[in-house]
Amino acid sequence: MDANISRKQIVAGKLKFASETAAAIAASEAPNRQTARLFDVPVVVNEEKCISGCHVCVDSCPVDCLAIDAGRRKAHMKYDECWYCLACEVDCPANAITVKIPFLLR
Amino acid sequence: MAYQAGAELTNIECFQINPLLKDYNGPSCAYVSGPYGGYTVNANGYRFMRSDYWSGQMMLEFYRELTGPNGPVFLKMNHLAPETVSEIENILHTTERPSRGRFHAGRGTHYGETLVEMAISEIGLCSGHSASGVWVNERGETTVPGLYAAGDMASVPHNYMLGAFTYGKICAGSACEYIAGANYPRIDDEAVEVEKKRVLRPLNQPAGIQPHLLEYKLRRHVNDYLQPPKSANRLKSGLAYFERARAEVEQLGATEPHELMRAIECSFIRDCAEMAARASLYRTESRWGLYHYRQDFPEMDNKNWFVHVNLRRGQKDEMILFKRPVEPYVVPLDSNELLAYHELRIEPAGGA
Repeated sequence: MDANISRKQIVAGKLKFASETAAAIAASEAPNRQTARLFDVPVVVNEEKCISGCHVCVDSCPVDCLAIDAGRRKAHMKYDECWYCLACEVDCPANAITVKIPFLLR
Repeated sequence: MAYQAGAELTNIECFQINPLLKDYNGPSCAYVSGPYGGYTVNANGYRFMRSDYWSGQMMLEFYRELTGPNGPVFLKMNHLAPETVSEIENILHTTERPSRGRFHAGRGTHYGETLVEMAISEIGLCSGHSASGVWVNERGETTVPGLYAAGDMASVPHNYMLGAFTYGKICAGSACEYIAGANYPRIDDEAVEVEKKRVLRPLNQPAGIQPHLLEYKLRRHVNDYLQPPKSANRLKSGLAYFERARAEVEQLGATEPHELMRAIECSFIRDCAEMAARASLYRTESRWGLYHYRQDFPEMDNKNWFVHVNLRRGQKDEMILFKRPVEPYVVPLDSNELLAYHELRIEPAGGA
């Protein structure tokens, strides 16, 4: 291979490599690109009942998976790490939270 | 963290494995229902072990029944009086995990009527129901002067909350004595900067590997290669990945505090996985029932292995493993007590 050509060449949108090893290295160094997938979460908040300015559920969650949406000023499950312990549901002063057992476990 | 600080850890190969409810991340709690008359049975409804209380041997009998022709395994409470069942439900559905009742109700499982299916948990490192953790003496001292450990992370088996409170008090007393006689330490600013850089690194590379991905990958390898029964071949395969994962930990990214927390946790999970693999490879015998069941060394070998296996971090961030002698028992044991675990099995279960 011509020593002046880099180990990868971009040809018509395809990468060409001197070897599988070179390809593997280049592929592992490519930047991460993420996509979103929507799914049901166990913690369901009734926003009409949820008290703006209250954050009892956020404080009571032992895995830190709840947050207050800054724009809507309502609680929501932000991280998919709920253990469905029910602490938020029990502690919510407005009875605004329902915790569902995830579909896969039902 | 204690490991990173240079403290010795012990009995890491003595994994904690729990019976769980099938499909529900909550303990099956034979130890709650046991005193009320509940017990573990096989799929034919027969009791197959004399005691449901946590031990490695109990888990081995559980595992054998679960994976054998008479599995799966169930918790039996449907022979109990309704008020006894209510009492058990009241404890398990409030104290232990409140959504447990919701899970059962969703499937139409009622303790007073149906058997409750159980399964085996993933492995954990913990002295709660096992014996692994940070090496401490009777004063709660670790091997790092001024560092103390109490609770399930310390090597005091079966101490639970009462033990945690008791040892917490002992540790506090020891720490007070230590502080009274100690000078103010010199803060090593350079070390603080190095640590800050390490801890905050994920925030400087927000497009790095997402923490939940690495956590899943680490745990998957733990399940694939470290879950007993163990063998050197599987343990080495797992270890090869855990070593590779050092580089992956350095590639972790985080965009905000919650993700940073998960990223740091990944580094601890990796450390624990490597410890679990190395300690399990080091002890070339079987001991503690399922907790350290080596298929390639199936017999217990008291001549060579009636010792603790301890480990600590070396100067080059490598794990150093070595033996520590077992201190003489404070309370002498009857010889028949030593055999109790070998008589746990009820044969033939299922009334052949």
